[in-house]
Amino acid sequence: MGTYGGDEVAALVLSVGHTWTQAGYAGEDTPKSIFPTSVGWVDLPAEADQGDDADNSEDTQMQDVTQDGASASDSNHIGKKDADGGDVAPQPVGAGLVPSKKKVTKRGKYYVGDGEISCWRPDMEIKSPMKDGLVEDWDALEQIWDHAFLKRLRCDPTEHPLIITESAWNTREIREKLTELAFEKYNFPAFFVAKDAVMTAFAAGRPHALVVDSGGDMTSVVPVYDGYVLRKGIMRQSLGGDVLSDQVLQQFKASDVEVTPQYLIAKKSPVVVGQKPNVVLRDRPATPSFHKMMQMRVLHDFKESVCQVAESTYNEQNISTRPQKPYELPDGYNFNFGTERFKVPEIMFNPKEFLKNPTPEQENFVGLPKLIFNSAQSCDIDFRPTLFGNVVLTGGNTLFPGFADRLHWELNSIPHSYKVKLHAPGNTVERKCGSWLGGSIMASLGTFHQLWISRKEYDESGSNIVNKKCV
Amino acid sequence: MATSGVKALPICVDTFQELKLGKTLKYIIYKISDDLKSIEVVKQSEDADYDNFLKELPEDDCRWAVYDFAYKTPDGGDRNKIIFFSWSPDNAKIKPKMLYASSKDGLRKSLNGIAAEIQGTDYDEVALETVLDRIRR
Repeated sequence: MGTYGGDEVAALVLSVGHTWTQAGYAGEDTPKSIFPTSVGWVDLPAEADQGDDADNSEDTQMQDVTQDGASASDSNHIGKKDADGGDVAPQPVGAGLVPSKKKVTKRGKYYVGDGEISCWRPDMEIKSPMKDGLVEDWDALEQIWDHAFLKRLRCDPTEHPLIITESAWNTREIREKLTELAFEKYNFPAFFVAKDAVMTAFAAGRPHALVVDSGGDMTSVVPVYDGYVLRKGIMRQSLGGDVLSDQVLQQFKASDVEVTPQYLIAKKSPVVVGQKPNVVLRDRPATPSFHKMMQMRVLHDFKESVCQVAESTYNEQNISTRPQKPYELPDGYNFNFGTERFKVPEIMFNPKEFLKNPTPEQENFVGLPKLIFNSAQSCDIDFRPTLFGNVVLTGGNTLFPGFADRLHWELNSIPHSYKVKLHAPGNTVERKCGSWLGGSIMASLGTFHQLWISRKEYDESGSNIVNKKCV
Repeated sequence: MATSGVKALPICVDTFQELKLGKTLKYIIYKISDDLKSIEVVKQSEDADYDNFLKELPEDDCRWAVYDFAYKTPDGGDRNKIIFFSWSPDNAKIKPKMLYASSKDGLRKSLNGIAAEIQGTDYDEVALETVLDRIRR
């Protein structure tokens, strides 16, 4: 419990990443709630600007179904039988990718949270409010905050201080806007913004560290010295888990295998390894963004289940002697994956060779060891030994088996005179929620209260105060 | 910067002055008090044996330390340098690690005359040779 204004009040800790949002109370060792940073909505037709009426009619026509076909817990569901067929106007199978033809002006009701966005709804668009570590869509971000505070933590924002994490390259404008959001809309009594890389470094017990964060959207290397981010050393590229998943998808396509997410599957029966799936599909037209998200979930599971990193430089001959791993897609297609399962994460280390059909942007990707090396090299020469000695790994994309060993090996084979020490928490919670955890401990310290931006300070100085107090 | 706001007690600085000027103390060990509000002195010693100093650094908890190194330059001259240690072993729990990392500045900034700083996460990094190597540079 932290202290604020003399009372024992737990602060709220919120970390909004590109893929996952983590929310909880300061002082706890795991977030109370982790849910996808994605919002879903159905675009309203231009003329249907009738407020609540439009919403209601939308809801009654719609069947909310979770991905396995069971009826959702939403209040407006109609029931399993209806959901399985019934009212939906028949449309050709595979029409899932037909874009909405209606001209739209505004978005209807938002859907947030794992259960809500994975319900199939015709015309539901899915989007993450974050891009490249920056807030891109403020409406959607507010939905995420609403969901975190009101639906998940079920707390009264006016009673708790709030600490949020931000990317090291966040802009002044965005920080000011976040401060305004916290004070004006939610009326938090106090607020603080912490750099996620600094929090991760602190949580690993290091005021000096080179924080390597590889997530769904991107991979970044941020040097932290004495608790400050060294801005010129920040290196990042949008090579993350999503690119890897996309590559798996392409590979499947190339061998004529369709990745069919769960929501489209009505019935399947077992097939022999490598044979076409024997499956009955549901008639569920969806938007491309929804279909993509559901496909990504399947591929995410594929990566977690079978992929692995070679411990030293990739060598096709050696790797082909390693045991294969079977995997079954939701539609029943199954196969034993051998070298393929090593080639996927290999993209992180050698994108030039392993990234197939790169876009012009992707052609400039460099391997992770090189990215780390470049980052340290652009810092002052006196800092480099310390930075190389304190490389901290975080982010879900670093959880491939063998990832840390391989990175250590690669960093030692680049010629330099520094001793490399890699810190990779074995505990997956620590690896996935490193920055949240740092914020949680930080805000729980009794002595931290003097650092909060208080309501009074905000009222006196305006949102610009965030740039002075949270450096 | 994001700091915890834990403050060093005056005794921390006084003991350090004694080490710096009095030339009798060899090392001082600091920790965060049990109520997590301030930084206090755990031990001050005149024992010159470096191994005994290392024994003061627990395997699973964090500490700070100041050590007055005496060493010889390649041409035979005697030198003294005061070294600051941040001890944060990987086995320590995450809370003390966080606490010590974010509070270091509070102590470090109040001590003047430190020649080098060592961030230690295992006994290798604080071994005598590693430290001497660092000092001689």
